[in-house]
Amino acid sequence: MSIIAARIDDRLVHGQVVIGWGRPLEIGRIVLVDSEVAGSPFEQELYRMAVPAGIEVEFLAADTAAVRVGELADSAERVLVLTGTVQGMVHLARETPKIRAINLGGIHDGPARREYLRYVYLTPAELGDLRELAAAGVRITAQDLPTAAPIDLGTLSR
Amino acid sequence: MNTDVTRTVLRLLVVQASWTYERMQGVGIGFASLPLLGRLEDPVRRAAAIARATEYFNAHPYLDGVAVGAATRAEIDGVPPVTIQRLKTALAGPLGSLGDQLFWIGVLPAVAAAMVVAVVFGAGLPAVAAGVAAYLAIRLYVTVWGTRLGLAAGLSVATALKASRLTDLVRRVGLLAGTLVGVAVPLAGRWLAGDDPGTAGQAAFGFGTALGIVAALVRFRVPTARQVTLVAMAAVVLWHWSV
Repeated sequence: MSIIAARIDDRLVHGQVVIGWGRPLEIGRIVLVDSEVAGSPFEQELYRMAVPAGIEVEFLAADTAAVRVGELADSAERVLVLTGTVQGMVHLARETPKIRAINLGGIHDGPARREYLRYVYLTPAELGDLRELAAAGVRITAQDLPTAAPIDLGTLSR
Repeated sequence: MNTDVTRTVLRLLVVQASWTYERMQGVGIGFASLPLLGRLEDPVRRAAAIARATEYFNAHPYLDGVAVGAATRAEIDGVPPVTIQRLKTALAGPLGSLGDQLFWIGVLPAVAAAMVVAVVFGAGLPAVAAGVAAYLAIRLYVTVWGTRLGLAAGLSVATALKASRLTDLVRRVGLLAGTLVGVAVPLAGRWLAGDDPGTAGQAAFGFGTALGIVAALVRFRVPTARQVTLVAMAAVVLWHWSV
């Protein structure tokens, strides 16, 4: 298993992901699953600028990501899978059993969203999808930085 | 400089004054964008653009001008709102990490260390005042430069940032900071120990140097900056023992 972490963060590739998680977890590759970014060269160029030498970045479209994530899970590389939306990660986790744990890292305020933590806001539909995955055995926790204590989805949404 | 650019830059100096967890710098960015968004003559488009400008955003405050400039250019060019939002999301990462590297582990420790060295050599309070003034001048210059770059580039801001060699500058400033901190810490220890050649003086010098080494290891995430800090420190320590 070399999917070291699967994170939902609407800021996508940024300092907390690259420095905060990338270094302590010795991540060698960040896989961003986002159909919009996968088709947008100017965004890819910006995200690459945020990542230091030594970490590869790969951009995947949502509909083709599962196969590639499965391949990477069987490789020796230490991979961090990232999506910008709950929907995106739920879709991926339903398609590949290689996503065994999901980290809620930054989902900010938006229409119909309720605050659960300062960095976790969810709509009822998103919460429902996450609970369904948790019931299916995926470990779901909220944690912004490795130094913070992880908070289980059950505790979070009680 | 155009007055609207000047007014945006002045507002960017206090961009974090309305920081919240919900939108982080968003409201500050919106406030700073107002003068530039005056270039949109249609009041309906302008109102929509202002509302978008206040949305969630966070980057290094000194480089926020790049985002304000680029988003404003995109608004003027009539880029679809979704694309503008994605541009800002994509800018937050690099502007955050480049700014942190340039200032927090670059310009700030470099200027602080230069001030310490100047004080050790007897320059006194004027050196401190000059250091603070230099830091603020660099900060202001970078914000003006960033706002203009963003405003000229719009969606091609990544290409413009690359062409600007900012990343190259970040590396050099990091090395300069490492060297200056390495020189300053043992020098300050020696200075604080005064003319006392006895145990207390040596202990103060040793303690100061040890503290500096720890600071270098913790602070300088750039490996080469860490190395030059330690080498510069070692050079000053050797010089101390030889005289």
